[in-house]
Amino acid sequence: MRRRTLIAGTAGCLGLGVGAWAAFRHRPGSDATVEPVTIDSLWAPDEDETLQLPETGRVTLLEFFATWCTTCRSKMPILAEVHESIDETEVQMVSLTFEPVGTTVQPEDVIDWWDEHGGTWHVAHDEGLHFTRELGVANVPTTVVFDSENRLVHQSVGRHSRDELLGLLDDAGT
Amino acid sequence: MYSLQGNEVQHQIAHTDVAYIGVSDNHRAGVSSLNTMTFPARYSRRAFIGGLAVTASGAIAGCLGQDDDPTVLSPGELSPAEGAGIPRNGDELPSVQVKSPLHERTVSTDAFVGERHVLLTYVFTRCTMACPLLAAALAMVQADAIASGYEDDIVCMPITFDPGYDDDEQLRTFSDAVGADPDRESWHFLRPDDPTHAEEIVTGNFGIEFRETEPEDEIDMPFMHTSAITLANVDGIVERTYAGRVPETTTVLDDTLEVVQAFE
Repeated sequence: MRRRTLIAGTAGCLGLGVGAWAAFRHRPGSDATVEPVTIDSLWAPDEDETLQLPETGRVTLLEFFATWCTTCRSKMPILAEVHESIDETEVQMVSLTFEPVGTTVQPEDVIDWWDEHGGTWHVAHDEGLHFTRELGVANVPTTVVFDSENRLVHQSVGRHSRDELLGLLDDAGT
Repeated sequence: MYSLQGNEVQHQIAHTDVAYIGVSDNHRAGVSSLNTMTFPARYSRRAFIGGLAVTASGAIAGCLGQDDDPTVLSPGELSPAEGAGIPRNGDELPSVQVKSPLHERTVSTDAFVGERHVLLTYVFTRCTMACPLLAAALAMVQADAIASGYEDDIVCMPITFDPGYDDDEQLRTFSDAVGADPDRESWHFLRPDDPTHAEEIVTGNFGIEFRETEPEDEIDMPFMHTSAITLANVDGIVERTYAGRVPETTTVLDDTLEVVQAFE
């Protein structure tokens, strides 16, 4: 009984979400491109700690997360599998938190969480909440995909399987 | 997702797989032109306007006299979840006495009228769905206030409706986890004395429905409830209650900034 209510409620929310796109500055499927922003990684797999996000010329998989988010935590192994499967010459993979890093949340706290949960790709703080605001993020985890010309081609909330995420990257042109 | 009978659409929980996307509830047609004026600290815009009406020229007084709106924000788009009992734009902030355990004192929800703008949300710390998002929205305001120098202008007041479980340690751990600093005067985590008191305050005074459930498994939540954040200005007038869904992450911060700037 409660499961049926849940499904009905989900459908209602998804309907709400479709309507919500109109309010966002950027929405999947439009031809508008997102202007890249230079950000510093909190943790990087290499010496290149500065990012252009999204990076022109590569498809970008952007994952919004928070260290208090249990779903984000359970999604980390899936993201790690995706990271192992992608060709990084074609795909840029970045996780971004909008937590108040540098004020009440220390960078070390995020890095410790990242290390504890097996993050092996770039993780950064959305300083000034630039992308959070531009993309109208209201929940975590939120998955965003830009194509190689920085057009927003996908945005959704919640868990995905490895194959679903790789499919999104394929759809974006990898 | 859960649904309660009655006049409230409830906190929409989709376990862990699909959540909901908030609709922008912003009506930022621009900050009032009064923002460009400088007001004494801790001095309400209404009081200032009232003073001007008495002392300034007829032309100025007449112009300002038309501004009898006690709020900075527009009423906003009402969601289906906004029931009759939820304070909304223009209403007075309900006044109730609640313990603030981490500050070891009892405060009133309107204790900061004349001093600070107030943000309230209604949560339980065992919640892993909407509650952390709601509390994180307040923590984001606190952090920005600390970083930007307006911390003395705001106070964040999460209220738990699970007083039996939410002891001092839980309140502190939850606050820390969502990025708040619970020891500061800008963060009061309020805890009613018992479940009856919680219902009196949260439902009776703020119109927020909550109901204890019987979880079938570990991912079922022990409560279903309306997701809501209330923003009231320093005059104790509600600017907006974001109800029924978690607002866009930056909405509460941006709206609070607009209110803070309007009263500066």
